[in-house]
Amino acid sequence: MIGFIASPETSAAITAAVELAQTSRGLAPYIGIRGMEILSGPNAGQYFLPFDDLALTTPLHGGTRIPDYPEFTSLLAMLGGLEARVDIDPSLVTPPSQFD
Amino acid sequence: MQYSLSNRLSSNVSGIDPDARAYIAAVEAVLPGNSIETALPNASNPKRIISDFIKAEKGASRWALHKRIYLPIYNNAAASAVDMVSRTSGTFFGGVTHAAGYVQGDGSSGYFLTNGNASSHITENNLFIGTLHNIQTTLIFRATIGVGSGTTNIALQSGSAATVNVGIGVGTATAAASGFVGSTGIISVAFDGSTRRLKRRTSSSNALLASNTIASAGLAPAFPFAIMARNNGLVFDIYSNAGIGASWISDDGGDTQNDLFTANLKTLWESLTGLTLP
Repeated sequence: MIGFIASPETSAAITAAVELAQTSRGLAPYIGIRGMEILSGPNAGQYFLPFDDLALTTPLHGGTRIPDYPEFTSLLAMLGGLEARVDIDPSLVTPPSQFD
Repeated sequence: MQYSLSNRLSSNVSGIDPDARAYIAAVEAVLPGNSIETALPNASNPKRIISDFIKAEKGASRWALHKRIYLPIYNNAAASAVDMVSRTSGTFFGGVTHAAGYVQGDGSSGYFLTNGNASSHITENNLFIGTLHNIQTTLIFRATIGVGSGTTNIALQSGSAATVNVGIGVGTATAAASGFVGSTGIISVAFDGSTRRLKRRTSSSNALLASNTIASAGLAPAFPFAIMARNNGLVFDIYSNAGIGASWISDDGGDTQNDLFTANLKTLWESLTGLTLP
């Protein structure tokens, strides 16, 4: 699973900024980025933000893509750029399931 | 006279249902070129197809039962997030592929969060929910639609093997186990406060997979349903990688009415996408 590792604060800021990028344009927040808490391993307590190459090409409002948004550059910089992405085992962010 | 007639016909769009008109407008507002015809090239008159679907629901007195109906068929996140009933928008998160006719989660991070809490749509003792799967999940114990809180779980979940696949949870964890089915088709669960029915509609049949009597279980969770995963009190889990072409959250209309709804939904999805329900 490919994405960014970020502090809880940065993760929350990214979530809010992505929502604002849509609502400030009068759009419903139809796409979001939400951090998943890393539950074990050396990054436990940090958050994982899923963001694989598919996220870059997903067709959005009016045929735009995420990189078309001017905010993308600054948000990406907060996370260290695309090269800062890591590939982690999904089990690191999978909570124990109460109902299985 | 000739101008007057043609003008009247075109401005009236030959009786498109007003709720269909509102939904189409909401979808077209976010589509490239603002054209639903371009987004659905395999549909012959998509506006008419959508209108006919809603008119059939209204004609059978089912429309008021529906709280949310999502058609993520547009290969476009904004359009696929629009609810046909309220025209509000849900939100896609994580790894989700948007394809022509369906969406597909990655099985580890992708899901769709519906708009509004389950408790504002349904009660746990009066519900009819489901998903249209055109691609079977390859994962076990995963939810295609689900919400949970405390000991309450309302979900359609895959079963103990990827090839014999959808189990169901409605009610408390101890009452969660039920039938198993192949996971393509329109999978639904209805609960009227005593009888729980799990059904699967395929291209050729609509089968009752399991029916049992369980205790009334109280209020639905005050969290939104997730599609392609379960929203367990805002902790998202059991991600599915099934292909999802439609989903809905409704009140229970009774077995016959529910069957007629899934038949109508099948016609809608197949007519709009040009695909055939497996």
